[in-house]
Amino acid sequence: MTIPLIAQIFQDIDEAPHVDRLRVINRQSRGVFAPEGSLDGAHGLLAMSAQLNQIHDKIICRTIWLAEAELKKQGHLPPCAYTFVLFGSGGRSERSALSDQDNGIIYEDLAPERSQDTEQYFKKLGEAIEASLQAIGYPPCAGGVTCGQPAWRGPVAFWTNRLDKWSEAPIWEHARYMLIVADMRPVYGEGRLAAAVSDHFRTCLGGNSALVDAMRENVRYRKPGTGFFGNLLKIRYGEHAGGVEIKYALYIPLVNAVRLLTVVHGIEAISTIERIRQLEGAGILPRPFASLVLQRFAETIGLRAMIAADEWDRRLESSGIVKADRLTKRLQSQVKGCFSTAKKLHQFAQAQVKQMKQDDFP
Amino acid sequence: MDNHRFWPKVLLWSIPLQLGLTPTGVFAAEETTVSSVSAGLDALWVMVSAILVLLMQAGFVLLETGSTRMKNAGHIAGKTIFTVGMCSLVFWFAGYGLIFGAGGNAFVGWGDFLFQPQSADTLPPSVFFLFQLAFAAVSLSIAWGGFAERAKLSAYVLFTLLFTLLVYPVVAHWIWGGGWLSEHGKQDFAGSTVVHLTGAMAALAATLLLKPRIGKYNRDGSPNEIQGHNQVYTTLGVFLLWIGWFGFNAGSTLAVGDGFFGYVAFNTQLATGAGALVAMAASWIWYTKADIPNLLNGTLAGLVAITASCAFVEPWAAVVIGAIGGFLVVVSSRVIERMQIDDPISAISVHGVAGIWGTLSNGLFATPKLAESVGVGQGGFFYTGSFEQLWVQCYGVVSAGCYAFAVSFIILYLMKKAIGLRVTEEQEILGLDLSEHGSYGYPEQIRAEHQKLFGKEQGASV
Repeated sequence: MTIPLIAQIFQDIDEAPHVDRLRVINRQSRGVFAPEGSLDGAHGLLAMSAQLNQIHDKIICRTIWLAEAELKKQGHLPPCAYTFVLFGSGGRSERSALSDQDNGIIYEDLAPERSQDTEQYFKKLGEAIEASLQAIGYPPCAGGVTCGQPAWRGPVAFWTNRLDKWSEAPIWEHARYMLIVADMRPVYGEGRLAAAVSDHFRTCLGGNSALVDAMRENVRYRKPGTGFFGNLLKIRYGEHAGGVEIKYALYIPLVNAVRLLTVVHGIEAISTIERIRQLEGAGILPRPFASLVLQRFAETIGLRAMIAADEWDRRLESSGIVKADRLTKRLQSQVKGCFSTAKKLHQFAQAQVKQMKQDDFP
Repeated sequence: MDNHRFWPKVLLWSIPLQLGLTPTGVFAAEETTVSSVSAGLDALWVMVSAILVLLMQAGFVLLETGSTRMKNAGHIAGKTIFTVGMCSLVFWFAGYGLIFGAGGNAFVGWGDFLFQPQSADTLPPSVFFLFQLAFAAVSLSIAWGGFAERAKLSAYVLFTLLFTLLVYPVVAHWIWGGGWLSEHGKQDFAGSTVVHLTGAMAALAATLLLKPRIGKYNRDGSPNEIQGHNQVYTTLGVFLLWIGWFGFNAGSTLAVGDGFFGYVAFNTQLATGAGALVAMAASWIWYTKADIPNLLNGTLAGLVAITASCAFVEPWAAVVIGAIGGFLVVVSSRVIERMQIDDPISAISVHGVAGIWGTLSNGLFATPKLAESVGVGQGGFFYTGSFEQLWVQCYGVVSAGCYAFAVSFIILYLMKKAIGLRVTEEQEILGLDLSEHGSYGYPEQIRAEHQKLFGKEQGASV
């Protein structure tokens, strides 16, 4: 997208007087990000994704600002500093034009006598933001990781206590929560509060081989994308019959493998692209392989953009499946290449983390 | 005849003639002789086999019910019972006579209507009749696969009558009743063509005329998965069919003799095992999931495929035949689904495709020794280097398949024009249990479902 156009969208967002206007902008800007039927030019695909994610971030920030202003009108002022954080693809800045919301609120620790009022304020704010984002076109995540839920809203101590609890008893579910927090990124407010939680996350992880093992187990299985003979597994039934599963067979396995390596090696980057670059820089991913992973990940982002471009005008959540009629011979071969790299990376990450001894942890 | 160690089905046409010439039955014999004991044992074995083949209907009940939805369960299970009952009467009335009646020609038998069994000093005609009837009923039950979940009850009634009179007896006469294909040397020991392909062709004709079930295909032609409601029923159904098949194949020796029935059963077991294994492996390798319906269909395909060849091939060949049958069913069921042919029980793949393969396999794997000893045709290509038997098999399978399909299609087409084949959309959605029989096979579950959908009041009124 041209700079003037994106600058115009940013300005529209900043000037949006209410949620309805944001919904319109969101819809209009989604349609702009429609890639051609090819995955060539990884750089272009990533640049497009970065712009789109800036728009998403801007919309979210404006939504929070509007929710805050609405509460102010009702006589409720923020009782303390807070930060609004994103998880999942939002946290990693990898949303496509179709995205759900996974988010939370971290606020300052306050004296016990103020905690009840503070809680009340952030309950109102969290619920208002979640509802507004839903109205704009971001349905709440199916797992319930949203600022409207008490489990994902609280003071710094609440978050750090939970991190302690999860890391001390690393059952499957706790490992999942830890992996969610690994992708946390502040988007609004006082970023230092999120940094405090992220620092604590890394402290919890230090030398905790049981937790690392639980996290590895948590992402051990991936949905296969190809059969025994390297054949693409097509969706057999339903409206997507003939299509190929991208989200769970390609995107999530890539993200999971990169995240796992990043987390155990103490790398702080959040976006998958930046994580791959840092893993390469640290010599954890061998150079030619890292370049390949980077290329394939950019293509995966392109595939996700394609899916969103096909679906943005008729659904809120992406099916994660690339349509049958998109699958030209060339695209099929590219997708196969992506699956093959995702499989190798997944096996590499699993094997490497499995072999790590306690002393290897940062 | 009593010195034969077994009686291949292809020679069966001569049995009723002989029965007429030998009025002194085994039970009338005044003294026990070796031959009377032998005949008694043969009769007992065939009777047991007839019961085993009849038991296959229990397999069909479970297979078909398990593979379809809860709202049609009572209908699908119950209709098998009444169609077997009706088929028995029609077969007695004329079906048997149209196969084995002595006054017939190369096309159809004639005589023995309202069949009256006489006593005999060989295989009692009553036993032979029951055995043959059980086969006809199996063929009919295969055809129901194409009707499932949308055909009217009246269509079942009428088609039972017409199939048992006009379709099955003609093909059976051609191959087993002394018709034009029996002289041709076509090897179909227990009925890959006669029973399975005939039933499958009727199923194909039915499903083409009935059109797919509501919800099976989307507007763009992509298929939806309509899962069966009970995989355990389906599995038990397959297992009952497997057991019953020993009557079907090994019973087709019609004699205990020197134990050849054991060899036939042995080959049957090997082919079935191979079919199961390969179908599971194929779906595992291709779809990366060891899919249970594919595994079960492959097991049945192994059975269907070996049905024609069980007496003609060596054990290794039985394994190959069953394995290829198992593989073909996985591929063909997918192809048929993509052609927008709704085959709810995979009858066309399992009985049609595997039936064709099983029949053709004789042309490749039949050993000259076994062909000679059974007394039908000659060895297959791998033993003789000649395509002659394969051609005979091909010729037979195409003729029989075309006849069964064409006549079934005409019958069903006329029925469609005259009375309609399919229930209304509302009836189909509500379930055939209610529309055709007035009560659900699973009343509690369906009521709960309706309560969930429409609220308590409407739910209670269903």
